[in-house]
Amino acid sequence: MSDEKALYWLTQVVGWFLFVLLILFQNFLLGQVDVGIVSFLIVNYIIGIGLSHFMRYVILQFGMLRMKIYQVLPRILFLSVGTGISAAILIGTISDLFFQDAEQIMVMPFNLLLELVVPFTVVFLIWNILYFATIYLKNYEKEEVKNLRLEASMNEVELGNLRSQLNPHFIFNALNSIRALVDENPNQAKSGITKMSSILRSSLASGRKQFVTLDEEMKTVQAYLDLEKIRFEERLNYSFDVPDDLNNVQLPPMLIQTLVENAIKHGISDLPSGGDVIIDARRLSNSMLEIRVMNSGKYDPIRRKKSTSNGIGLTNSRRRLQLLYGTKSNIAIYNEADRVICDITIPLTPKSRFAYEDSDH
Amino acid sequence: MRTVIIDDERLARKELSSLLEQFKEIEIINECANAEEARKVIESERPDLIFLDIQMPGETGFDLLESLEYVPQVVFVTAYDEYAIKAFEVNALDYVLKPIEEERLEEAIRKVKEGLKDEDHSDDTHPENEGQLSMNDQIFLKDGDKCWFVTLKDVRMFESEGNYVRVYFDKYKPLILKSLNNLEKRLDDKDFFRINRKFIVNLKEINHIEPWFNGGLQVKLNTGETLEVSRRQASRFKDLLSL
Repeated sequence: MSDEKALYWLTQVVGWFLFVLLILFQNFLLGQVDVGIVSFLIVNYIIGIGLSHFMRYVILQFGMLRMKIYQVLPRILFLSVGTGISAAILIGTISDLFFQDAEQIMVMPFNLLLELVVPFTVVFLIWNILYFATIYLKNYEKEEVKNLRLEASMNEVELGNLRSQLNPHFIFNALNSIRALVDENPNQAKSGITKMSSILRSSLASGRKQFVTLDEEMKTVQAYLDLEKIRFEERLNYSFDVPDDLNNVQLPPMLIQTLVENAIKHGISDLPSGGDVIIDARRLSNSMLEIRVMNSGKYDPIRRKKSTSNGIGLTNSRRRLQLLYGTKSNIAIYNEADRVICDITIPLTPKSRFAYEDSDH
Repeated sequence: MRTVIIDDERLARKELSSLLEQFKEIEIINECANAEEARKVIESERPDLIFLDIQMPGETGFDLLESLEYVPQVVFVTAYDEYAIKAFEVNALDYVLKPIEEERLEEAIRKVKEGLKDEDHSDDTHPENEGQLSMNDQIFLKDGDKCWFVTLKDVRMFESEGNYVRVYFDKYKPLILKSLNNLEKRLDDKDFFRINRKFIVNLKEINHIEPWFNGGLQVKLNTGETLEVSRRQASRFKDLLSL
């Protein structure tokens, strides 16, 4: 027997027992307790369970649990009256046949109605209300759990999709530059290949890890900038300022890399004579970290919107942080003098909003 | 073939020119790092062929092409640009991807040579004046994500729209930033005739002609479009067609 079935039968047995106990108590107060009454109540007990179980059969058979509430209410009423009348006839007949000393009920329709039909209809109506309420409550809980699970898994999938991927434009341009370097400067070509591997490795790892240390992230950013430097040569200059005590702070992988990539794509590569990229990290308070990416150029949201890339990097990063940290994080981008500044604020200690394990699935 | 390489990255230019060394028909006459520089070189040196990077600081390769009076044969060179590649595939513009495969480069050069041969042939019938366009010349058109190289003989008409000209060909009608007057000067009126203030029509596309009000004419194109020839232009138009 399933848990639900067991619960059903337990409720039936205990519920009807309490019902007859209540009547017995009433009779006791009136001083009318005798063997006849007890036997009569046992008959009531059995018939109550039997008929209510038959009622449940009808409810299930006609799919009443899936009906709209306005369809259910009249049916419940009708069912309760029907079952109430059946119970009254059954009990009346049995009482007349076996409890000869009591008054004959079946010959007095008004008494029959007053003493048996109305009370039993009311009891069965209450039974139905309790039954439907329990089922609805259970369904509601199930639905709630399902929704929560769905939301969590959707967030997980979304996070997976938002995970920054390397821009293919960058990969192929870098490979092209390295190819040119093979003749011109073989040593630099070799180091270019090593850096490319290191970036590809962190990019692949970012699919599996939810967080990396700031130190690891900055190594990726360094390799990325070195490669772009091969391509842009004197057009690109860059510098970092990350205090050592922040090295172990956890952050989503490729977060800074994405913003640096944006800085190059929309800043440096648009400037014929090039420019600078500067990256700073600092403790904002006891619990917050600020990372600042600055680049030469001008941030122009309207132009960005028109361009084919649509600023996906920034939008994705924002959504990622929102999913991971809720309202505790922020990305701001603005112009200052002839520079674009992008500020990321995240908590120093990550606390994922939902359970999420580092695993390969 | 006199060739110019246009790419903002020195190493990319170097890589391409070293790949081109093995093609003895290619003579690299210049290398440019941006669109502005390239425009000057192309207008003054009139190369046969350019290798053009699409993503460049300032103006893109597409912007450059749109602005050119003289458009040489073009092979696009790009690392990865989903949108540009989509545009190419639709219109069979030729492109090579970085890092460049030698076989692919060879194929692109072969196509260019064929294209040039067609042009040489046409030059016999149409002696080229300075800036004059012949029916086999190509124009570069761009409309949003799409871009085309269209041979003039495939254009059925030009329509003036303010500072722009709408170019009708196939089922497309993109706008170019040029004036109809300017365009008229560069087109041979034996090929393209200015029928009224708004339209220039490809004479080969005309299906039939009817008299119209006020001594004007109405022409119907092969595609079914009907246009009015203004009274002022009607007599010249008749002269031109009555041989």
